Amino acid sequence: MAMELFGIAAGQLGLFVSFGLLIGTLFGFFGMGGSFLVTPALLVMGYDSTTAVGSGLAFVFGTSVIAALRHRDHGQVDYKLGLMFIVGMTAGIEVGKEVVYYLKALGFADLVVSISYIGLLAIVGLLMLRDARTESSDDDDGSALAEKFQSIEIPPMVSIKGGTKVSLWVTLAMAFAIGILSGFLGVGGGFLLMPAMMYGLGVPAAVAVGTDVFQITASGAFGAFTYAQSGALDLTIVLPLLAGSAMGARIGAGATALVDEDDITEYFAAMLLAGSAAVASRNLGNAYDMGIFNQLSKVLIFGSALLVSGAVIWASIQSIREEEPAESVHAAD
Amino acid sequence: MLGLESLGATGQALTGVGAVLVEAMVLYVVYGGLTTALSRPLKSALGGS
Repeated sequence: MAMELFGIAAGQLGLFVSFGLLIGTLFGFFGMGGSFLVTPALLVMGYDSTTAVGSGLAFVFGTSVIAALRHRDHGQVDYKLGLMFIVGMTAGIEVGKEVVYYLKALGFADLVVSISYIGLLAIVGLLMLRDARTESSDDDDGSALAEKFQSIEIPPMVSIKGGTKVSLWVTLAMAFAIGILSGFLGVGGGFLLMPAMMYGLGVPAAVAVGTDVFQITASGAFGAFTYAQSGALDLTIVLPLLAGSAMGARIGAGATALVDEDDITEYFAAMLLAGSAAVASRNLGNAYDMGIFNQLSKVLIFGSALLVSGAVIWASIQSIREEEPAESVHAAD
Repeated sequence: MLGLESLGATGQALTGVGAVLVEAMVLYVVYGGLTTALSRPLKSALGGS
């Protein structure tokens, strides 16, 4: 019989803590990726879509509580903007969740959630890869987009940190759309919300990060709660994942002071593409009853997370080792 | 006995989300302390000095 700790098989506990450590490192370093690798990983492990999405949202809630506690003293939260996003996203999450349950009743939920993940990971991965390879032109695209959104003056207009004014309705509509995706896929929406605030509303980057964390704490709690009411929150998944990721997030955050993010962005983009291929491979495996594709999907998702977080840690260690001789030279002077 | 089952779906959901919240706050405190205590010795160990 397998050894159990707290009612969880020791092997599974070790696997979730280790995987949490990997994605926590990525989340701490890149500021995203905490959630949108968890749900696909649970899908390739064979969990049903509602458990994967519900537990993914609970994990998002846990990680964002920790991040919010760390950000609270920096004064980088626009509470007014955060509240608008909470209202819009809460409504969107409810719609997204209903879509999942409706598709489940039709018997299509697993297929549609999986296909959406394949598309989403592939698009975000390709955009990041493009960003990593082209330097400055995207900023121009971003500010042009921000100006376009800010020019929609449907009253009431609300002033936000950074000195700009945005329409309440435009902000709510943006939040609602992101909320649908968040509730549908079990992602925190941070990787959509950050660019939406920065490029869509012209919010300064630091304020966008703080507000993002603040609202994800609230929307993650609401999303996890609604899924938990249907019994789709599995604490034997979430608690060990969170234990690992909280430690990983500290390692990743420490690494940002040592390693240039641009050096590793391409690896991160490749990891998202591998995640996309993993979910596709698992679906092929299920459709044609070929175990090799299921094994390949696990290797792709866990292997790529291990490789990229390993690259972050390796680059950090190298950076520390390079610093030491330089400090010694200065000390000799 | 008041088991979790008697709390109903809302009670169980609150218990689940509450458990995640409590764990997150405990981890914040424990790992924060560990990071502060271990960062300097770890850095010097990695740097070989």
